[in-house]
Amino acid sequence: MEDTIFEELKASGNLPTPAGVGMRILQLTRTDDYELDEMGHAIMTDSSLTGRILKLANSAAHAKARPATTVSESILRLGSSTVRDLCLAFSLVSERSAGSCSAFDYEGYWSTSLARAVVAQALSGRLGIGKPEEAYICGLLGDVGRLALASVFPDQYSAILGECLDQSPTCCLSKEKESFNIDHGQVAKCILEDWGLPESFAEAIQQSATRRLLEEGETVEQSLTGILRVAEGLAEILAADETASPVVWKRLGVQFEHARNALGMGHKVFEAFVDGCIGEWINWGDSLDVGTHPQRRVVDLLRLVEERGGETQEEAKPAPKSASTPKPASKSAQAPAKPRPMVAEEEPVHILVIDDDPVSLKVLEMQLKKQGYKVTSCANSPQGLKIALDTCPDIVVADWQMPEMDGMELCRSLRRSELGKRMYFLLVTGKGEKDVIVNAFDSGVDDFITKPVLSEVLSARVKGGVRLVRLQRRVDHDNRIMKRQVAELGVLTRKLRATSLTDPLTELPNRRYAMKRLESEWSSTLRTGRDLCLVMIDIDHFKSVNDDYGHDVGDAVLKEAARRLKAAIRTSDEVCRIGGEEFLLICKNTAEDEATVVAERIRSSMADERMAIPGFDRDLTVSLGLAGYEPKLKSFNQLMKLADEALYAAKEGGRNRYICSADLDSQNEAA
Amino acid sequence: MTGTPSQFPFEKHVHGGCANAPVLRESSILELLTLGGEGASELLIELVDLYLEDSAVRMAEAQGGFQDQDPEQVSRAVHALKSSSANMGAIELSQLCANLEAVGSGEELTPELLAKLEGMHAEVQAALRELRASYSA
Repeated sequence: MEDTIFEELKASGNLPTPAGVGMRILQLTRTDDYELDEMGHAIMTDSSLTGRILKLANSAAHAKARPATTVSESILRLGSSTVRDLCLAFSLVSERSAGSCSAFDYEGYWSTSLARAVVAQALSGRLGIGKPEEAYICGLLGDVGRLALASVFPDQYSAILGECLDQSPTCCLSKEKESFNIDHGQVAKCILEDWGLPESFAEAIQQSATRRLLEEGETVEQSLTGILRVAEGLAEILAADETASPVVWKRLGVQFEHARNALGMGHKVFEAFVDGCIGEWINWGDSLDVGTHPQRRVVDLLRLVEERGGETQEEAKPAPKSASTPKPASKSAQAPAKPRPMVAEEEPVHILVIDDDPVSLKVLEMQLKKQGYKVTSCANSPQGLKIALDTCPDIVVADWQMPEMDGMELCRSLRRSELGKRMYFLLVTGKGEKDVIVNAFDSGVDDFITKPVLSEVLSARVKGGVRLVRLQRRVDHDNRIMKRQVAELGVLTRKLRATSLTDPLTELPNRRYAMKRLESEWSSTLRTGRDLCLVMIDIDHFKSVNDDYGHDVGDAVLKEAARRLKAAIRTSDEVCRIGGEEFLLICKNTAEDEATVVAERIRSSMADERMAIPGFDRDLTVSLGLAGYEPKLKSFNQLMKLADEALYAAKEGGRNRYICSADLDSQNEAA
Repeated sequence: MTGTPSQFPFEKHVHGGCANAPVLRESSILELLTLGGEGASELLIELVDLYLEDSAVRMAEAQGGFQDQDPEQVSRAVHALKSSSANMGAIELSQLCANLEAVGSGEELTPELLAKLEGMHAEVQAALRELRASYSA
């Protein structure tokens, strides 16, 4: 279900993706048989990336070994797949630009994600669970689902964020499901799988997203999921804004205590541990240009919890979303982000003038200002190019003959970028150059004007450009509206499709969906050789429930059965309602004998506890038939048939049990 | 300092050298003043300063080119000077620069030519300084 929805998210083109070197590495390592050298070379082209990989290879976990100084050593030490995954994660961080969702706190997101990475890494090392670098990656990418949803649905996500203000992130889950039919935990899982990261990462991230906050008295699960859950709580505290409301600070204080308890650490030990994490976080923040709170330590956090958490709502200062007080400040926070400028139609036209002769430059500037345009001037062409790409003027007026880079070359460079393609380019030429002007149009110049530049002529030529600018702005505006409408349409379509693939009563996927899914899993199995197991489930004596208690009770029973089924299966399993009282469980990557564990769990969840339905005083049981993939099978229908036969055998054998197709075979052979 | 252009005391300062050929063309200066609008004198002063500074640099480059008998260096140096001189109304100087730009060989870069260039430039500088002075009051 979520796969089809995810495909549509991908089609929007707005999902966060690793860019630059990260993208190259993603492409390089799509299949498993890539050359380590190639990956190493790709990494080395990016000095900051190299630095970060080395930093991680030399982190505390590997302190005893001789320091690694080359990329190859790092690959040997960390493992090639870990290095690959790190590259993807780092490139996502470094390529980030301001996003389009107004209510989403992008800087805070990265600050928290980095904190989560650092804490997870430390916990992994300390508790000896998994590899610290893997925990680091999962921490860094843990919340990518929310980033993705905010990028694909900026307006709707802003609304959801508004509704969940001050709440913990799990609050968003149900709202996301409502609006997009997918929640951020699932999106994160899909993205990680899409990038080829290990399934264990993807599942751990999804798990921790859906069961985030530690309860009182919980201890840490000895797994990646467990680490991530603790790391999540601590990361939120580390990155929290001073100006957050008392409700938030109170919650954070509670989280802090739960984390300490879960880890079984005394106060002093725990505080030292957290301070260590803070130090690492600040360190990494500098390296990745992600904002942190360099002045804050645990003592400060505890004080904030006391003071701010203790305030009542009336005493509390208002906490604006875009806080004016120090937020985690990153160095690039001063530089403006680089989204395509969305200029209103009525705004004055912006013209950039470039000429190395200061007198001509000044005269041009004055001429244009007099005509009412907003003018920037620059006497140096390489710098002019940079200014153009940074500030996106509507029109560029440049002299042809300039040292370092002439006007035509400047135009050609400009046209190579997406932003530069949209600017109207006016070239200023000398009298004698008219013959060569034909070349100007090849290099992308829109029009030319000869010196000496008369004000009236300049005005006329510029007006031509302005007309195009206005048209462009209108087109941009319409495009923005259309994009929004298309996105909304997409959501509606998805909802519609979901409805046609969903059983309305139990809200499980229906038979139509089951068959599609089965077909896809079947080809996947044929292709990759991975296991596949089907479990046919049938509620025993269901007909008599309807007969004896009526259809209302029957429906309630089905709903409860569906709920128990969902609770008993694993995240990689999917259960569908394919008939009146018939269900099909698809277990991918699972062999028949493994699936028996799930089957037993299901059987007992039905039989051991009576359903609490008013008026219903019967015990309910199910029969199950399992069939695992075998090469001798020619189609998934045959597999279904085997499962069906096993189910039949279970019924015949007395119900409230599961039978494996393999056992049937041996029984038949023995007979 | 607003008012009709005839109030501006520049006429006597732009005439120098040959009595029939003013060093700085009136209409060009007028255009600049009109361009400046309310801040006409400020603009003019700014432009004169820019010109004086820039042209000194270009001249030095040109002199070097003459010395090395390098027509390309001369050409580059006078290209910008040509435009800026034209802007400031120094039409004759601008024309000379245009001719120099087209010079093909080192032999044409005679000492006489250089002297002519330097002489004209000096005249223009003087005229502009006087102009500037009358507007700085």
